[in-house]
Amino acid sequence: MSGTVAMLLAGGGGTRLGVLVERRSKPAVPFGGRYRIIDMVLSNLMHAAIDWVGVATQYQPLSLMSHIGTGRAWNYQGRGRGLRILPPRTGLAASDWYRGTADAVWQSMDFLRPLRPERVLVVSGDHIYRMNYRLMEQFHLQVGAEVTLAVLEVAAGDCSRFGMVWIDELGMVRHFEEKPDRADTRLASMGIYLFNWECLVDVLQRVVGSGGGTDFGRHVFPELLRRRRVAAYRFDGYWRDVGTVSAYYQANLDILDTAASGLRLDDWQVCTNQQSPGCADAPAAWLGPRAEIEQVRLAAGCRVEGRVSRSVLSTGVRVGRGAVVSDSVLLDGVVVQPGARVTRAVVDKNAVIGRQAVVAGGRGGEAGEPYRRCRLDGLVLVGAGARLPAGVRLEKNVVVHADTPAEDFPAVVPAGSLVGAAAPTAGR
Amino acid sequence: MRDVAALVLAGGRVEELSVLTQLRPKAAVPFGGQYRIIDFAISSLVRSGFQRIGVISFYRPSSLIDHLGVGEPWELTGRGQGIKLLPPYAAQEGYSLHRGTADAVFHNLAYVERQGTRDVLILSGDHIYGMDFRPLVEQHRRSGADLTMVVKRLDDPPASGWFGYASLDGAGRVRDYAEKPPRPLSDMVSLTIYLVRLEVLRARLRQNQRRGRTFQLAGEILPAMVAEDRVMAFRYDGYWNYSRTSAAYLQANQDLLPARPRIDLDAWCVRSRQQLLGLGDLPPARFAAGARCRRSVVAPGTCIAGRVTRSILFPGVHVEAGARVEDCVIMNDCHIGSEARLHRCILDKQVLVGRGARCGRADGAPTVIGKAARLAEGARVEAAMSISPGVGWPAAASDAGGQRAPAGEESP
Repeated sequence: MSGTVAMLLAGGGGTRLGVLVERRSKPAVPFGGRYRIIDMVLSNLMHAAIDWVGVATQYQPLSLMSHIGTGRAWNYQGRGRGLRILPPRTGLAASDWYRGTADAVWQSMDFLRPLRPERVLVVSGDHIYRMNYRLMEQFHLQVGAEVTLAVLEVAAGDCSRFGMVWIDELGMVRHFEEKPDRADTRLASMGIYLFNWECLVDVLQRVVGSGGGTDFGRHVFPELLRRRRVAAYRFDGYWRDVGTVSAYYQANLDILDTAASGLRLDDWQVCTNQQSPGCADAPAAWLGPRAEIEQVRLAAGCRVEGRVSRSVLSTGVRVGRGAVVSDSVLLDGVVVQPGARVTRAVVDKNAVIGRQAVVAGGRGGEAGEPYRRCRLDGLVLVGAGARLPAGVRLEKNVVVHADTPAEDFPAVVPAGSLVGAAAPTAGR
Repeated sequence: MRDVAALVLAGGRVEELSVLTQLRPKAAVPFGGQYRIIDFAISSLVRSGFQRIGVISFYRPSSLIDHLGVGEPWELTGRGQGIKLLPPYAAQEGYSLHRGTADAVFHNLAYVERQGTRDVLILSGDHIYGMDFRPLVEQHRRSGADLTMVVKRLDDPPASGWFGYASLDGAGRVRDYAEKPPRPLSDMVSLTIYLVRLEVLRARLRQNQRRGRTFQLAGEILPAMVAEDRVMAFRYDGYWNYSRTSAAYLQANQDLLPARPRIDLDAWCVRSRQQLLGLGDLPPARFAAGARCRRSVVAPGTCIAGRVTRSILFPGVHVEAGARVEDCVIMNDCHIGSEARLHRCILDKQVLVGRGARCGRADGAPTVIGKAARLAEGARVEAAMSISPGVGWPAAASDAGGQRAPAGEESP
């Protein structure tokens, strides 16, 4: 896509992912047994042959930055191609944090302008989807739009989660409303915007530059719709926001039956950083003499001696003899010791489930505060490096903070309760 | 290891591995789900502190060149580090492919001398083992040897023809050496790992250039040095697999399967290149409903709906529902059709096995299928057969791709 430069907004905290984002931003959350969420959009950009990408980071960016590295994994290396991390930076006017999506792009003009783009594609690093941006660009040029938003149809009850879009019979956007309570349209914005350069500069100057707001959905679109030709490009493939723990869990399980779910991970050609520690040298997965494994994704470096079903096991997970794991998502290096049982749980990196421990996730209900908004729906959420002692029992909707030591657990953790303390965050 | 140069001999083809080495040297044969055999030698060197490694290769080296690259999987990049492929070359004196291992080393003496080292470690790139060479270097220096060869006691030495045998005196000095004698000289076999003083090696290689016939290190240089120089033995007691036959190769792969595997990839620090072909990007292995998989090693990017036991599956392999795979090595991107039965088979990359095909036997010598061969629906392939790369089977009358394996296939 010559002439088009991408701005990838990867600053979001994604607070409704609970302890999964205690130490990383949402785009850096592991996904699909091998990847991180941001790999989806980086791979889309790479496959669309977009030569320059600016990545706006803000919240807990270290894990994300080390994952992206130089961008080499997505071919952003070489003459005339590149990927730049754009942290918030202080200028003459002592500007500080990105105050919103539009503000991040506005503050990144110093990256964009020297590239002399004809168009700017604004994408978010939070979503799971495979999309050919070239088709969107073709559409944009065909209809002669100045801005094109990608939209998809959502369930009628979901309008309060999305920016909703009303279009006319020619496919031009007539009205936009951010997270309305009620809407007579089913089309939601996917947070993917293609701007003509002149239009982008003009509207950001008018809105952000003059203190009129910092957010694309709330502030920029109303202004755009008054003055510009805004088109809607319909997408009907798999797309998920994975904004809550249960949505994240479900999207992971969607890679088990790719034909039914539409998350065709084996065909999407997702690329990822292959140098990440522990991944690059992991041997092929090993299955022991008593292993039973059905409807499972098993990454490299896993060792399975127990029974695993309907689960996603990321790099280096170990399931001991007699252990049973079902309907769960286990991230890198999780150890399920012999005899333990794990049902409906999301377990972050390197956590240890002690011998004979029972993680009894279920259905329904909510976590206690401050994780009520995470929509656990009965899942148990275990933070990175937590150590569940032998024989402990966790009921549904329990949240365990990262690095919680074994001695902090009671023998039975009642439903909806919280174990451990949030890690102190330096400097914030 | 700044004063020891490392030379890996990776040129050999090894007839007995049949179609697996038709398109690549034995050192480049894939192994264990994602490795190539040479990874074991390279990883052993790196783990022992070697930072510069020369690799001598001449038989169809392209897969080896791609695999080694500039050595970044083994962290051989950076100042004073590197891995270098040393191909045969033309010179004013003429041009020739290496006439033997001694000839190959002789023609690369300039590379070794540039390292400015005292000793040269010469080893084969086509064995499966994990060794720390530091004790070897230490013993070599302490004993004042001109050459130290690594030997291993074989409990059950094969009757003939495979190894070089050393007989030692009480002090560990090699008193006699015979390369592939009709009857074993002793129970000590040479692992073809030699640590030798550069000065002595240079003199012996020059002499060999004038008087040699086979130009082989083991056949000519070693016996001459045993007779006239100080040659010591270094005992190695760890795991070592020669992988000289398809049965030994299959066994070595299966040595990854026990709960405490005899091949300890972790302790041996075995690394490999995964970036090629985007192997590191592949999604995790997928086990469908109804899949059954035990005692096996399964790489990413595979999809298993059938039954797999005691087998090694490389990236991108598909095993359809109802198929059975037992005691097999299945390399990258093979497709096993439904209801197919595979026993003791080694499938090179991209083999298509048609629905209901029967291949190999549970107790037979391994069946070896060449790269990108295609077995038709319901095809039968007997034990110990091999099928050439790229052919269809059953073969059309004009296409005689299948063949009985050579006799000797069933020896160790």
